[in-house]
Amino acid sequence: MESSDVGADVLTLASDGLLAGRAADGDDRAFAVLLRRHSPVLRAYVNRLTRRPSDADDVLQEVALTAWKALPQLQNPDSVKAWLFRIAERQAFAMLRRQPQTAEIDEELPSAEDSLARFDDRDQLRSALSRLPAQQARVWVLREVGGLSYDEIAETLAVPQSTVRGALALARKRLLDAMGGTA
Amino acid sequence: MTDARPPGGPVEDLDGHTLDELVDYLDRGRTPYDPGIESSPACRIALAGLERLRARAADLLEEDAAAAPARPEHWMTAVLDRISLESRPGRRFALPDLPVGTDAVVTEGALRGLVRAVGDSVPGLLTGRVRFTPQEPGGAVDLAVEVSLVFGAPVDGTVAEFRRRVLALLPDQAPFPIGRLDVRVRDVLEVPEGGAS
Repeated sequence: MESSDVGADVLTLASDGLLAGRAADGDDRAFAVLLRRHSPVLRAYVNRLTRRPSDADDVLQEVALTAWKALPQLQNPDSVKAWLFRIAERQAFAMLRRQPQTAEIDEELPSAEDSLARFDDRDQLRSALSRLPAQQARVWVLREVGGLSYDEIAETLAVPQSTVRGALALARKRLLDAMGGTA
Repeated sequence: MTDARPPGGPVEDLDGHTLDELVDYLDRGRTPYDPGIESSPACRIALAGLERLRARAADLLEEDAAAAPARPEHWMTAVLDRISLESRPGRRFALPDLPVGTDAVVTEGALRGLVRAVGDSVPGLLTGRVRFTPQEPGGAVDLAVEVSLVFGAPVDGTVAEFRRRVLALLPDQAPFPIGRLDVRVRDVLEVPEGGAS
């Protein structure tokens, strides 16, 4: 057999579906490429859900190990990114349950000052999101960023659907109000 | 998207509609057309705001990620070190014709790895998922392989070369006769000018 090192480079160009299929077959190089590709947004998602960036590494590690074990059962490898998001949600809230904080101390998340030069919609959203109570922000992020249904959010957070609807309505109203000011 | 910006001040009076209703209306793609909502300036302003909010939400994580400082991903190294010890052996196929009292197997995982390596050695081709399906115990085993082709690689010639290499090598390694070999091209890879980074 000809030896070839083209694989390692070309793997970085491969589709999610191909990589997930290889990883399901046991190819850890393909899994590494998937992790590198998606871990920045997974980290951002986890941070938005937990507001505890210092715990993100632990959550991501659990996400990755869970994913590796479960990959052979993934029905549609092309949707591996959305699947990783679902695992990240579960692991993020599992971490919060394992390590509850008596007082909610929110850590610094990217804000207007350090991320973008212009103060625009983006900054208004960031700033308003950081001022929301944690539960409202979580529910909004799960719905609008994660794309979960009300039922799925209720299940993920182990709260009644009515609570989800209430929190979401409040979050939307506050975010809209915050973004409604003149730029 | 619209450039309409709601004036300052809270979202309060929506002409008898609730924000939830407006969100549901947006979720339905503003169909069927609701004249009650569409004729209300307050509702239209709120809808524009909700659309802007949704557009920003879609970009939120990418922007967070771009703003995050580069960091050493020690957690990833730890994960990769750990999973490299947890192979996926899959089924075990006994090697035939061994002297009595001896026993040896080749794992499905090892054979998959072999097919993967053979495929990756074919110029313009990257191997995806590999499936072995035994027809009956002791009988031939069918093989189904997904591949990606690099843009510009000739489909017929590249797939034929892959088949040729697999069928040249696998019968010597697999303790069963090979039945069908199905190759499915799942997608095409765009390789940027100058190769992969």
